[in-house]
Order: sequence, then structure tokens, then C-alpha cells
Amino acid sequence: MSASVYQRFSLDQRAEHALTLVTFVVLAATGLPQKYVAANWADTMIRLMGGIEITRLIHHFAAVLLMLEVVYHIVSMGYRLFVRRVRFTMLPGLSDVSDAVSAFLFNLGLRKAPPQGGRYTFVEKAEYWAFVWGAVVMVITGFMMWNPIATAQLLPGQYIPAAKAAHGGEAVLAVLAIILWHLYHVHLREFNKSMFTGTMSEREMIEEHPLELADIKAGMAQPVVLPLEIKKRRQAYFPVAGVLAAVLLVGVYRFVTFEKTAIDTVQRVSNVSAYAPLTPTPLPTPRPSPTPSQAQLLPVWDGNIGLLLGQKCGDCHGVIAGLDFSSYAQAMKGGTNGPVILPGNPDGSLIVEKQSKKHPGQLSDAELSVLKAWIAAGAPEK
Amino acid sequence: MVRPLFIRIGMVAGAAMLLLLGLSFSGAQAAPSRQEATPAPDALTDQQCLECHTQPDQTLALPSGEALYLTIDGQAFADSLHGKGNVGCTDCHSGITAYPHDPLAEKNLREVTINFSATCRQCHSDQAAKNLDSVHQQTREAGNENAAACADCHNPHYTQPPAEPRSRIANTCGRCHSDIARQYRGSVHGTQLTDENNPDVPVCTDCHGVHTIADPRTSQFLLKSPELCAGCHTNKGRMDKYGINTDVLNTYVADFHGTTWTLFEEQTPDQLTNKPLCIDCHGVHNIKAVTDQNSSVIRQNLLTTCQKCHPSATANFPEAWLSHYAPSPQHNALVYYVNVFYGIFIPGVLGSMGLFVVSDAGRRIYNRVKRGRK
Repeated sequence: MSASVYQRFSLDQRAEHALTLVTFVVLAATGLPQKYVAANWADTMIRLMGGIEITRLIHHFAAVLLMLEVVYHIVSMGYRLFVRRVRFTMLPGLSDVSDAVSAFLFNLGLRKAPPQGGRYTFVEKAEYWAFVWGAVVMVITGFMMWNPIATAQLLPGQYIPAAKAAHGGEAVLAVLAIILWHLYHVHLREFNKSMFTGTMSEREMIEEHPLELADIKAGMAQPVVLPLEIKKRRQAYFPVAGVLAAVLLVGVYRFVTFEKTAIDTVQRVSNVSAYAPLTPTPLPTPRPSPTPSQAQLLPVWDGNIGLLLGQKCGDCHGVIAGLDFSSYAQAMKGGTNGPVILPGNPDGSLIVEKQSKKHPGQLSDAELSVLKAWIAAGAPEK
Repeated sequence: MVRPLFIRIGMVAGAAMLLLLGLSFSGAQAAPSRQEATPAPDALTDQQCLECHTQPDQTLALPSGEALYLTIDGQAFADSLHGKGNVGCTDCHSGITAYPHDPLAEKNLREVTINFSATCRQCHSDQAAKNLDSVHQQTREAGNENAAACADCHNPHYTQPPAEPRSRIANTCGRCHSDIARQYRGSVHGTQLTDENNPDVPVCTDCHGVHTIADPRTSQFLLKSPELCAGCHTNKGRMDKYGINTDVLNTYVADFHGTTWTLFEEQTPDQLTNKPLCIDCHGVHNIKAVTDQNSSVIRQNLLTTCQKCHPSATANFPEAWLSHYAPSPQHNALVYYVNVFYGIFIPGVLGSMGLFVVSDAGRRIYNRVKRGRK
């Protein structure tokens, strides 16, 4: 049994795949609802994730993780290719095109035999390089949207909405391609578990990668390398890889922290005061009238008692009870019930009697006592 | 010892008023249509009241020192909605049943205006109920007596149809909100209202409501505001006359800003977003036509407007906003062609993939069936 099992993916490659799988799904789950925001499902998903701001935060976080994974992939691929001198079996070529054509023709029954697959078939290469293309587009357009001010310093502003359009279009393409191409070839056609187990059975190898199997059996799958040479190449590669990784990591860091695009709180309080009553108010207001000062109220009619009675009583009297306080003569004449002011007799005067009880236009105690003093003094006009 | 006496009088008068109010409530007059009540034999007639109250420049000195204007223009009252509707003096001044009558118990002018709201409610219960949750009522309950009560907007003695002409509304609100009214009168909406009496432009109440006036500073109101604008600005019948784009809401929602707004409005209306609403770029009461040289969104002013939220934005930045144009070869061509590219690229790639997948699946099914037959 063990003899018929072939190592296909190393542990770190499988870990890379797992990380890519998780971040891709998270990016799609947080990104597509933003593109199709009007749809009910999008609304529900964003709600479930805790709102649009959190959704965007998760999207950004997953994007950073995936970018870090890409950095790791570049460095580890460099190690494989330059240190261990692994054959660059993922490199696409014209043979892949002809393989695709003959596979298609075989499927239609126009060819007798399907093409023979090497380590990576044209199906896998198509997916890998589509992913590379997608990653490049998403990283560039993602940077533009994440840092629109920096982008507009170098490019016309319209590149930012264009980046958004491309990011969305590419996302739809990537998700649908994964569903159609990846799901069919790796899960539906036959459940290929090698990305999780790391190994493939001989039967699977014959089916999927007969040319690689032949190479393995012939001992030609990988070049023979001497440990000493590996050591030498490592010494050369590690500094380069270190610099490369540092540059890429700084790039990711700058990607995230390049600019503060917008302020956090928009001031929406109007610069004018809400309450600013008009003055003078358009409602009718009384004209100012001279009010005798109580402190200086003298027991004479002119300018004192006359003004006081005019103001306090004149609102009604002048009509009511025939009384009129507009002149000294009228006031002394009295009303329909006879005179109200009896000079020298304050207690007998009807005005004092009325004002000592509740009456509209009530005089104050001080005013009443001056009034009484005035009547007691004979109610002089001057 | 004037004041204690006055207060005592006031308390008696107040109690009498409350009693009468209670009695008239039990009469349950809900609608402004009055039931013909048989007047009590000793009830005062309007003529008796006006005998004194038509005299010019009568005032009552309130304890606060303010003067309450007591003179009524009898003719203007007769021409008012209340006068025409046969609402008599004592229908509202129900505490006054005979002459001579007590002066009002209120200590200042605000109290007089505010306290009469209870009287208005007897006939105008619908409007009073709507007003309960309004910002005016809430502000007053919170202790700010300046907030409008019924009689601040509707002068009860000379009340006329409040929206005829429509410019009356802006004048009414402007009595207290004069700064805002001044801004509004200078806006594209306000100019059209005052100069042309244009029925298409909004007046205060179109956005703020009438009695249900909500606090416009809350996130709920602010987040609803784009819908207020869109109510008219997506209406083709209304906008076509002026050649105004009705795609404004769609194009806003399609943009990052508007997308965020829809989500906040639907999901967290109590939370504000830092993404701009219509008002943040266009202004509120001072809104100008987009062709106006002083408009905040005309090209030469746009960068300044962007910088309100994007302080470090530079010259190219405003073009990141598509100016309410749906991408087309004429406007925002780059975005348009990116969309065209993906419109071809996506079906192209997926179509080829699909074709191959179908052929592969077909071949496998065919092989299996063939094997099964053998």
C-alpha cells in the first residue's frame, strides 16, 4: 500500500492552501455583499457580520492575511526554484494549449486518447495562473480603494471608481471560476484529497498525472542535488530572500497604513443658530407709555395720579360704567353711579372702596395709599 | 404686598379655569367643528368682550414686567378662520364668564402662549397629538420655554390658512428660526419660492413635517435625509422642467458613499456614518443650484468640499466622485470601459470553462453508460 502512495504536496504547501481557502472565502463573503448591497441576501449577510464597518474591517483583515500568504508563497517558491532547483512544473507553455484542445476534442469523441498529464495538468495551471492574475488585479485595485488620496496624487481621480469596478468584476469572475472550474475538477469529477492528505494513490497518479508518475518511476522527477550545493545556494538565497521578504512586508504594511483617507466624525451641526427670534417680533407689541415711578408718585393729578389712573383704569373705563380718567374734569365728574372721587373723603370715595377689594387693573398698596392721600388733600389737579 | 395678593387671585382664577377646562373636556369636542352649545344665560357675548378689547393699545402688565397686548382688531378677528368659524371669545377664554373678570394668572408672556395650548387641544386634538413627539414639545418639556407652542405659529385671533401662500410657512418658521430662514431665502429653493412662488420647491414643512417636526440633529433624521431629497429629485415630472438629473439617488447609492449610507439607514439608523449624505456636499438650507458659481459642488469648489472630510485630498481627487453620472463613453469613460471589459471577460472565461466542463462531464457520463452496457 505504502509503495503505491506518492507525496504530492508538502506540509507548508497544504498550510498555504488552507490559509488561501479560508481568506478567499472570507474575502468573498465580506466583499460580494458590498458589491450587491441592494440584494436581500447581501443585507442579511452584512447584518450577520455586525454591520458594514465591521464587514469592511474583516475584508481588510482577510486581505492582509492573503497578501502575507502571497509574500510567503513568493519566498518559498524562490527557495524551491533557486535553492532546491525544483523543476518549474507550473510554468505554462504551448503544450498546455494543445493539451486543452486535445482534451476537449477527446471529450467530443474526436480524439482517441486524452492528453497525458504531467505534474501539473493544464487544468491546474489554468487555475494557478488565473489566481495569480486575480491576485495582481485585486491587490492593485484594492490599494487604490484603500488609499484613494495617494492614488489621486499620481493618477486621474477616475482610476479610483474604475478600480472599484475592476475589483468587483474580478471578484465575481474569481468566485464563479472557483465554483465552476475548481469545484468540478477537484471535488465533483473525483474528490481529489491530495491537498489535505498531501499524497496521491497510484491509481490517481495514473489517471491524473501519468507523465509525472513515469518520471518518478524513472527517478527523473526531481534533479539530484548534493547537500553541499544546497548549503551554498542557501547562503546565497537567504540574504536575497530576506531583503525580498522585507520589501514585500513593508509593502503590505504601507498598503494598510499609507494614508488616513477621511475624518472619523463629520460635523453636521449647522453654522447658524437654530433659535434666532426676529426682533422686533411681528406680533403686535404695545407702544411704550410713560409709567409713573412709584417712588416719585406725588399726590397731584397732573403727571402723577392722572397717569396712574389712565394706565391702570383707562383700559376699561372710558367705556365701562361711564367712567373716564382721561382728564381731570372727567375723572372728577364720575360715572353712571355718580362721582367716584370725593375730595377730602378718601374712605367715602367709590374708587377707594373698589380698589380696596379685588378689581381688574388693581393698584398696588403703595399706589392706593398715595391715591388716598391725594383725595384726603382735596384731590388737587396741580 | 402686591405679589401674594396677585398670586392668590391667580390661583383662584387658575382653579376656575381648570374646572371649566375639565367641564369642557367632558363635552369631548374632538374635531374643529363646534357643536352648537346653548350659551348659558349669563355668558358673555363677543360683542361685550370687544367693547373693551377693541380699544387701542391696551396692555396688561404681567408680574414679569412684560406687557400683554390686550387689544383685538375686531374686523381682523371676524375675517380670521376662527372668526368665520363662529368661534367665540369665551370658547377659548373659557375662564372668563362674567364682567369684570380676573386678569390672567400667568406670570409672563411665554406662560400665556404656552398655557393656551391646552385650550387649542380641545378642538385641534389631532394636531396636538402629532405635536406630542415633536422637537418643539420635547424641547419645552426639557425646560426650554422658547420652543414653539401652538400660538407661536398660529395667531389664534387672526389665524389664516397657514400655507396660503406657501411663502407664509417660511415666514412663520422664520419668526423664531430667522438665521435659517435667511439662509433658505438665499438658496435655490428659497429664491424660487419668494420670487416665483414656485410650487415645486420645498418649504420648511416639506422636509421637517408640520406638527410632527422631528429633531433634525438626530442620526435617524440625518440618515433619512437623502430620502427626503430623493422624494422630489427622483421625480421626473417635477425635475424634467428644470433639466435636473433624476438619477441622483441611484448614482449616489452606486458609489461607495451612498452604498454605505443605505446600509446605515437600513441597519443602524441610530448610528451616524462618516460617509457624506446629500446635505454634506450640497448644503442644507443654503443649498445652491449646481450651476451657481457659489455652489459647494461646482467644479471649482468641489475640492474644498471634498477636503471637509478628506483634508489631504489634492487636485485629482474630486474626480474619484462620478458627479452623479452613470458611467458612459461621455462621462466617466474609464469606469465604463472597465465595466465593458468585465462584461465580456467574465462570460468569456466562464463560458470557455463551462464548455470544457460540460464536455468533460459528458464524456465521463458517456463512458460510464457505455461501460454499464458492456
